[in-house]
Amino acid sequence: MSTTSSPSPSYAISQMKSLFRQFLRITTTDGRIFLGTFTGTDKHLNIILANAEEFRFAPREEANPNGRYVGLVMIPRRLMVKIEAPEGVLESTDGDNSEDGMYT
Amino acid sequence: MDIDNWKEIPGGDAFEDVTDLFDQAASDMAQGDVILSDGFTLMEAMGAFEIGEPRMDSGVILDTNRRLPFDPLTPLLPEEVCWILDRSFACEMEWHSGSTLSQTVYTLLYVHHMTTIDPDFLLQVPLNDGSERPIGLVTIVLRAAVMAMLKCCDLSWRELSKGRVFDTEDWQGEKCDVSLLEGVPAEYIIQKLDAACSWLHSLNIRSDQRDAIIDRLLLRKSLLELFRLDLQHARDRLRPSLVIARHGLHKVLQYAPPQPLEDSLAIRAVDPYITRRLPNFLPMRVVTLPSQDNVWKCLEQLLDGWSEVDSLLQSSTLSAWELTGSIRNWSPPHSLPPPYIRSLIQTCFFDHNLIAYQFPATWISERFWLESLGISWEKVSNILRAGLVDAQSSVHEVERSVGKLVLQDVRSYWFNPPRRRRYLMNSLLDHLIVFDLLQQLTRRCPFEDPEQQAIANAIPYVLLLRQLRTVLDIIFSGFHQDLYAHDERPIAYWHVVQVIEIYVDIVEEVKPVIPKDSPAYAELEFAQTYHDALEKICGALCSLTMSDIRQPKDRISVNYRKRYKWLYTKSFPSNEEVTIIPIPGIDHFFSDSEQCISASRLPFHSLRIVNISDIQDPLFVIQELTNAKNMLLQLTRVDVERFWAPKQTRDQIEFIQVTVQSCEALATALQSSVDASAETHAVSNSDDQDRKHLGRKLRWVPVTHPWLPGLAQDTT
Repeated sequence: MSTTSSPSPSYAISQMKSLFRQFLRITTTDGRIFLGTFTGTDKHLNIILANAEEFRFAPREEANPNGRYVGLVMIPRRLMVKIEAPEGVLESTDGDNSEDGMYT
Repeated sequence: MDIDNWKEIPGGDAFEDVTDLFDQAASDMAQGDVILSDGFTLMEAMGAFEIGEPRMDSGVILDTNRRLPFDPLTPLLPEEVCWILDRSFACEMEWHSGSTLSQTVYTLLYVHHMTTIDPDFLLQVPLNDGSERPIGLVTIVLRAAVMAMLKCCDLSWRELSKGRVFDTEDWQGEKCDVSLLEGVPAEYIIQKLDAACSWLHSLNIRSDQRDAIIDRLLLRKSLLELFRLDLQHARDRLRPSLVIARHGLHKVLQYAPPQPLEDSLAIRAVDPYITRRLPNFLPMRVVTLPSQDNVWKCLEQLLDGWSEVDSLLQSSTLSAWELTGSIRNWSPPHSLPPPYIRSLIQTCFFDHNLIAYQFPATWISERFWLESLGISWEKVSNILRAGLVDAQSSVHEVERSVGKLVLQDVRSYWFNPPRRRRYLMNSLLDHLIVFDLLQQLTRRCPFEDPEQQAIANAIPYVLLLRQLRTVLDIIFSGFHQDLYAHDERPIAYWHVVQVIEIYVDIVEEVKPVIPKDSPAYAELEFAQTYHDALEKICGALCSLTMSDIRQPKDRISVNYRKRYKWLYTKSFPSNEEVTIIPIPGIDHFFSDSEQCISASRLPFHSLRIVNISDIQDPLFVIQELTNAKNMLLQLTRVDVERFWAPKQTRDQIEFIQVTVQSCEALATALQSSVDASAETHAVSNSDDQDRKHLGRKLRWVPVTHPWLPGLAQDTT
């Protein structure tokens, strides 16, 4: 896995928009991972995922590594540990807003 | 976190960290900016469940909800197993009461570990090691019981999902991808239960504990036998199976296992927060399972329901179904039969094109005419055929329309009350269409024989009587479901009086046609007296509640149009609004009530109860209630053996006795109130205030009576 270097301001928003309709993987502070389609966000980075699945890894007695469908969810930034996107998506879009994804 | 210890991360390794990119983008956005992908609107975004918010996030774990780890293979004591078995019944009954499987049955964690505790996969573990906690109690006994519970739920689910009762209203069908052993035959599970009982006999534990566990397994087995019974082909097995189940329940009640301690391993077997691990994205509130006493009561109610099914299948009259349905329909909300029973009764009434698994569909029409008019369908159809060119198709049309209408009516008795009210409202027009058809057919040619002419005249009236009873049911259901505001109650009672006026007049038209020795005649006389009494009660209550009207006429008229929209239809070709049955609308109510207030008269000056003239005299109300009570008491003494369905009529008389008690209680309380007012009369000197005072003390409590009020205790 690689980390994207800090981009210029306008470029960051357009890069983020290029991830629309792509899968995002968001890890939260309570030991869950959400995997869903990125559909929107706001200034406070409340990220909306559609058709999301929830995977729980902690606490161990409640673990559910096979996942469960949770539908349309909004994850606040304060609960996020890490946001991940599929490799190669950012490079391939090269800053444009083409929104090519699984539904296009 | 332990995530790194897991071999595979969801989505795979081909992901890169974009957290910094998102942080940078967020800092670049202006205040209040929202960025959404094309086609995804803000409205849709507002429908998202917020993660971390306990009211919305079904997966959030609060510190207070943390559970100790559960190991399904933990050996248990016999009394702990017994307690878990009892709780399995609690889970099942709570599901039958309308909660979801994830809130009830799935909270028993063994449901999710059936493979783990399968003794076939634990060959190296001795099932009975001579200890006080043999693992066989879990792998053989508990597993068999949980399998049987799941199978019972599966068989119930199959009945409930036939669409006779309504998913998410009466019951919850969401299975959350958890197996209810749909593919496992019930016979196999019964063998497992038998094997568990045999194994228990070989176990060296206290005999009372062993017997208690075996009793629970046998009760479960008898329930499974009942659920899997094919009533079409093995109806005769219902009664013996019921006897066995009741005996099983009686034996189970003999022993109550002690409540396990808080740190007991048995307590961990029930996890009310299981929903956070199930694929069910709607957050579910935690359901507190009922106490064991209430569980057994619910189970007894289920068995009573099966007894009712048996009784109905034994009966050969339409009245038996209609009376039973009517009585159940007015039950207090908490004693409504379980949805499974309500669905099963509807299935038994009409399934595989058969009525009660024995009569053809034409039976409905035949019984309808015989039981309402005392005349065979053959005779009725001959009268309908007279003078018609295409007689056969017209008679078939009548047979089909009446059959369909009555079939739906009978089924609707076992809907939930709001659903039935809605059904009845919609069915009024169907009644009108059939009434119209009958009227067209019977008016076509006059008969020379006056007897035949009288029958021809009475035929459409039978449908009209049924329609009027439907209207009464709709109005009364508003009280039963607590729909009416203060201002609406006098209008509802006023409408009842209007409808009964027409009903009694039509009964007079129909009665001469019915043979006097027929049960139909006895039943119509019974119904006439009953409705006469009802008219008196409702007239009295209308005058009592009249003082509750506080809003202006315009406001009341608007409310009235909404509440009674079912009463109106549009005439053709003028397209004017007319009432479905010929009763006056709200304007007449206003004129009646104004006359009542200005002339101190009853609001029914045009009706038969005008002989009591002074509305401001509360003694009138007491007298009317007393008269009604005496009329109802007469009905409780009739010989029910003359009726079509004596057993069900006895149940109806029980209901009438409740009405008698309500009338009596109301009259007595009013008399006391009048006496108390008389003492202070010198101070207030206002009869009108007395009446208002009485009216405001009325309380409508469906548990006491579905339509009649009681009187609140005077605290002033």
